[in-house]
Amino acid sequence: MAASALSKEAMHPFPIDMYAYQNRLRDAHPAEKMLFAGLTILICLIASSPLVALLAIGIVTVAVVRVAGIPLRAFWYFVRLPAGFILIGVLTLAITSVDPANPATLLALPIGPWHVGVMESSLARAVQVASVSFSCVASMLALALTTPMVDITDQLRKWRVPQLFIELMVLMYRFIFVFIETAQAMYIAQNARLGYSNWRRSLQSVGMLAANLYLRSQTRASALFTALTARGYSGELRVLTAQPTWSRRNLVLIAGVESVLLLAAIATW
Amino acid sequence: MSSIDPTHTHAPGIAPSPGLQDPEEFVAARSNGDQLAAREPVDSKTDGSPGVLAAESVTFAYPDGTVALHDLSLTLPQGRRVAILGANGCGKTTLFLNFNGILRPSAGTIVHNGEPIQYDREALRDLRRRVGLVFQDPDSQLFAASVRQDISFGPLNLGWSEEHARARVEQIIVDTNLTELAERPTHMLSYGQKKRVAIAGVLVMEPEVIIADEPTAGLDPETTGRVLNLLDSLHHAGRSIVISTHDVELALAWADHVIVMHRGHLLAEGPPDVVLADDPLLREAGLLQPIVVDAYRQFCAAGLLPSSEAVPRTVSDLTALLVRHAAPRTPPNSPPD
Amino acid sequence: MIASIAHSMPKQRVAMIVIAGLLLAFGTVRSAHAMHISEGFLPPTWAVLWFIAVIPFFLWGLRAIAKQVNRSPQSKITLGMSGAYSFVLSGLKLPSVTGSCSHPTGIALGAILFGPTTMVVLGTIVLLFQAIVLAHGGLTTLGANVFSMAVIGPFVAYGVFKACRGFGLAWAVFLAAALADWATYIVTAGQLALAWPAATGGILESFIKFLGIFSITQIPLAVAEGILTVIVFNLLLQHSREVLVEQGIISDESPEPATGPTAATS
Ligand SMILES: Nc1ncnc2c1ncn2[C@@H]1O[C@H](COP(=O)(O)OP(=O)(O)OP(=O)(O)O)[C@@H](O)[C@H]1O
Ligand SMILES: [Mg+2]
Repeated sequence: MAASALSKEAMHPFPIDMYAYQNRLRDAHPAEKMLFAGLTILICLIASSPLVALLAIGIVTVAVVRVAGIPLRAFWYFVRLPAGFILIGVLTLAITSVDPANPATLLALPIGPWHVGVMESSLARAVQVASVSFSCVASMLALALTTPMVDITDQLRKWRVPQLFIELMVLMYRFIFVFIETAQAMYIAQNARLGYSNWRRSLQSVGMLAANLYLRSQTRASALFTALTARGYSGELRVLTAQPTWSRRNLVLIAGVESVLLLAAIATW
Repeated sequence: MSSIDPTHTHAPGIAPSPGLQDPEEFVAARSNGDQLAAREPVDSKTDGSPGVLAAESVTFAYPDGTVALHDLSLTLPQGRRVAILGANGCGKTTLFLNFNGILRPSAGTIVHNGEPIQYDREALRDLRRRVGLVFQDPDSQLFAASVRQDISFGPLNLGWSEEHARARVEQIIVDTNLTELAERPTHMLSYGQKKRVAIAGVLVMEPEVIIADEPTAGLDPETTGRVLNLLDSLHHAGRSIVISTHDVELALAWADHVIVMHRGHLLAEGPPDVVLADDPLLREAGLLQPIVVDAYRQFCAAGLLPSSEAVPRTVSDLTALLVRHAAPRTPPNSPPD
Repeated sequence: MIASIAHSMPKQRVAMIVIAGLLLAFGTVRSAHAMHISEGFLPPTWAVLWFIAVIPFFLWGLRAIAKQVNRSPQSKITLGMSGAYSFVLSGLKLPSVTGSCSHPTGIALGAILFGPTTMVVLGTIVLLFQAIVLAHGGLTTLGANVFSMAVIGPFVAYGVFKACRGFGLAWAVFLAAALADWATYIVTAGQLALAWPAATGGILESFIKFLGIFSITQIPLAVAEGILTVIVFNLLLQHSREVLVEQGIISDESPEPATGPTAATS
């Protein structure tokens, strides 16, 4: 559908990550963005009305599109990424065993001795869960689309998350891109030699790719270890962290927006 | 004669003998080189100084039994641009890793500033600060997600204070023209840009010697120029620069001193216009004669140039030679133009 | 509110809407990272509970890794690369019978190659990255997803692999991979059922519903992943047996024939 219009997103292995480096909020304090996303998610999860979730989606969309400057089309594309899981999940919630005599039953199909269908309450819950889920996805994206991974790891360092965990995050993040490039090159080479012409061959080719990639990852590891040792590595991967500044304006805005959301949550309780 | 007997060895701690080249040829080569190339005069003799780094009878075997260096002795002269040439697998990278103390010779010693290197933690840290090693594949050297963070890794390992490290990092970013890349994530850089960042990550540690493993391999001509300019600017600052390369043209044009390796042995060392004009030697090493030299030889054979001239190092050198010799009616001692 | 609107409509129309929605939903499941519980899908109490459930395993894994790293600084680098590999592995496209595309979880391969305790930590980071850069899974549901995919999955894989060694390497690997995927899928269905019990049938009814709906994708996926893992393992055996021996995955003496599908790499 929007595939051609979104070719830019489709080309990069992680288009969300790409926007994280190219948006107008990139230099804002990462903790501000985490606060905004976190509070919005929290209020949406706790509020009982889907209206709050819809309001949150509206607010987040304005923040992402107007403030951060991310194209609306791209944002919607990302919000819909988990739609498969969410829609199947809520349909499973909506369709339930029903008592056809109950006036709250909207639909009932007899299956053997039981009746399967949709009840008012199950439909309401499905709508509620779907809207909350999408609002949380949108809020999380507000963080992911505006915050480079470096800023996230820097912030985690400040919060005293175990050093080892962060160092592994740093290494993994960097080498995911290297390995994807390798994997893509291998895939193209295999494809050129008809490695994906049928199901059996495809499976065989994916297996070969995975095995080769594993061996490459292990040689990469020793090459990187050697290179880091040459720069004085002796067990710790210390780097200088950025020193972002808090913006009073942003904090006031976040406080205002979250208060509105909170009031809406209380009003629709 | 420009090749060296591969079995040539010298006593530990003593500089290699100077009489490796025919003195006449040597002087001729230098004086002409100086005149022809727009470069500052250089003296390719390695005697008198112990060299910044030297390998003395170094043998190195990998755990799987591959002997990558055989009783290798050579000296990297102080303050020079040195190019190490040799076919794939001849042991260049292995030698570099020995120079940096990452690999330890199975036999023989590595000498740094006249002293055999020590392998305790402190001594190695100091060695690695002084001997900067830039790896061939930048993807195997850059580990952080941002350019600035990656460059800051070395300084923090040296135990510098955060302010000092921060100031140095900013300075090196400016010095190496990386300002507009500093905010970019590592994975969005091109290959050549990654290579420049990798060099900056080593430079920031203020090494005395920079050893770069194939710094120009896989780079387009413009980026090659940038990288070489960067290395040249370091050389002007008094540092010794060592590169490995398969590119004989580059070695001829750029280096002050070349070393040719073959299967873990030293095959030859000396001034580029001498060593790289020795066709049989280069063939033995698995290399080809530079095109400039080839052309010069053919001009000589065709009688266009006298073979007494020193070998030109660049196309412009060759052109200048031709201009000087091509006009038969010009009196022999009149200026070329 | 929506429910009351629906109530005012004729029942056939509601049925139509529901069926249309169903088709729409299935049409949307093209790239099925189906076992990641999406952001915001769990109510806050369950989200928090799964985080708490995961903490001991996580700390155990982190401590095991820290010991290893203290012994050799190189192992930190190797672990980072292994984690990156796990991420990329789970992004590979698995050819599927139905024509839709799915991805291997890589849980069993990771658990066998790197060990289940290590996989808890690496898997957590993989899931964190998937949530942030791919919008697969979520931050609020990270605890639940870690529990099913980075705790239960790897331990089941490893246990099955060890227990089934007697059947031959290929079978042990196949069963480890397939059962790890099924265990993951059953746990996820359980997590969803606990969070959202059905109005009349309770948790059990909800569990059966989720189990049923995900079985459509997960049962064939697990089989495909099992075969894939055997292929990968056989290739590693053929071409770099010493790597596997070195890591204690197989013993040196056992000259086991690499049964199952074999291939020559180019
Ligand atoms: N880690 C290793 N284990 C075993 N043998 C190795 C290892 N690294 C290199 N070798 C072998 O040592 C020899 C020298 O390799 P080295 O990488 O030093 O060559 P090189 O001159 O740098 O080659 P190239 O120009 O291809 O980079 C080769 O025969 C190579 O196969
Ligand atoms: Mg090399």
